Amino acid sequence: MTPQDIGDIFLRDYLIAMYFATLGVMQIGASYGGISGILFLSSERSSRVFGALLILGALLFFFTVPLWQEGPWGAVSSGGVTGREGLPVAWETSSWRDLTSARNINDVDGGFSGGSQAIWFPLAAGFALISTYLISSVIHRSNSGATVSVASNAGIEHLKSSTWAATVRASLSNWRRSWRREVGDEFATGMPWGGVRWLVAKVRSR
Amino acid sequence: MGRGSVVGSEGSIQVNAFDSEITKWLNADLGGFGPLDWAMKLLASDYLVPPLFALVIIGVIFAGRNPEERFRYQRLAFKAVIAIAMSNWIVAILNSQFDRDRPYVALPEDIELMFYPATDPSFPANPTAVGFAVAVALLPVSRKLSIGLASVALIVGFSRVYAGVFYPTDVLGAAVLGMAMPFLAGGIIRLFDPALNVALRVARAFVVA
Repeated sequence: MTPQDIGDIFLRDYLIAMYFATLGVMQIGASYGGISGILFLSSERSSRVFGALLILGALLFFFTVPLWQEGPWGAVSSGGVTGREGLPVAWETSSWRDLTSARNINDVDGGFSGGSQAIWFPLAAGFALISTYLISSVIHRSNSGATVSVASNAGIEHLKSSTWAATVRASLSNWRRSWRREVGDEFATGMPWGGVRWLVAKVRSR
Repeated sequence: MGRGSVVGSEGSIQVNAFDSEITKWLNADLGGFGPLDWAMKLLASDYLVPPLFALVIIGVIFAGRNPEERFRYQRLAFKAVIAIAMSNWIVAILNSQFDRDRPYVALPEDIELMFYPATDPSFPANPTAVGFAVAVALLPVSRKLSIGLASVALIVGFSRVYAGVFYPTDVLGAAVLGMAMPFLAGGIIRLFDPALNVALRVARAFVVA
C-alpha cells in the first residue's frame, strides 16, 4: 500500500463528505435568503434542520469511516504508511480511542495539502450546486410551467418564485441581449485606473 | 532540554520561555486526559475546521435576503476567498524566512506529539491565520457569525498548541496576520472591481449568484 493508494481512499471519502456537507449548507443559506426554489423541503425551518443534519452526517461519515474500513489509521507519530524512518505502519481499522486522529494524515502520506483541498473542495461543492439545482427543479416541477419574466439580470432572486430549470433559459436569453451594455457600464464607471477608464470610454464611443 | 531554555539552530527563531512554558503546560500537564486529548485531536484536524470555514463562505453566498444584500454578501464571500489565498501566501513566505522548529522537535523530551509530524516551520500558524481572515472578512455579514468564526479559529490554534505542533506566539502572530488580510484583499478587489462585478453578472445570468 502506497501513499497514492491512501490518497485514492482519502479523496473518495473527502469528496463524498464535502458534497453532502455543501448540499446541507446550501439548504441553510437558501433558507435564510428565502430562496425557496432551491429548497428541498417546504418550510425554511425544516430546511435548516435538514441542512444541519446533512452537514453533521457528512462529517460523521468522514471521521468514522476508519472504524470499519482498514487503513493507516492511528499512524500519527510513526511517520506514515511508506515506512519513513524504517517504521512499518499497521494496516487496520481504527479504535474509538484513536478515531479523532485517524483521518488526520499528512499530505506526504496520502492526505491533502492546503493546495489540494483548494482543488477538491470546490469540485465537490460544484457538484453539490449542480445537484441542488437539478433536484430542486424536479421537486418543484409544478412551478416550472409558470411564466418566467426575466426582465433584469437578478440571478437567484428569480428562484424565490420559480425553479432553476424554468428560469435559466430566459435569464441567459436576457443576458445575451444586455451583456454589452452591462459589461461596458461596469468598466466605464468602476475601473479605478483613470487611463483604462478613458480607453474604455473611447472604445464605447465608437 | 531545560525548562524555559532557549532553543534554535542557526537561521531559526528562538523559542522563548513564554512559549515553551505554556506549550509544555498545555501539552504535558493538561494533556493525557483521554476525553480532552480525543476532542483536541479532532479540533486540530486539517479536515474538520478548514472545510467548515469554506462551507460558511458558500452559505453566505446564498444568505442575502434581497438582491442588494446578496450582491454585498457575495462580494464579501469573494473577499474572504482572496483573504485566504493571501494568508496562505504570506504564511508560506514567513515560513521560508523564519525557520522555527515545531515544539515536538525543539522540546522532544517535554512534548508528546498528538498530530502528524508536520514538515514545515512552526511560525505562523496557518489554520489560525486563515480562520481569522475569514472571520474578519465576513464581519459585515454578521457580527455574531464573525465572533463565532474567530472563536473557532482561536480554539483550533489552542488545540494545535495542545497537540504539540505550534507555540502560542505562532497562533497569536497568525491571528494578527489573518485579521490584516481582509484589508489587503479589499484593496485588491477595489483594483479589479469591474472584473469581479462582471463575473457576478455572468453568474447571475446562469442563476447561480
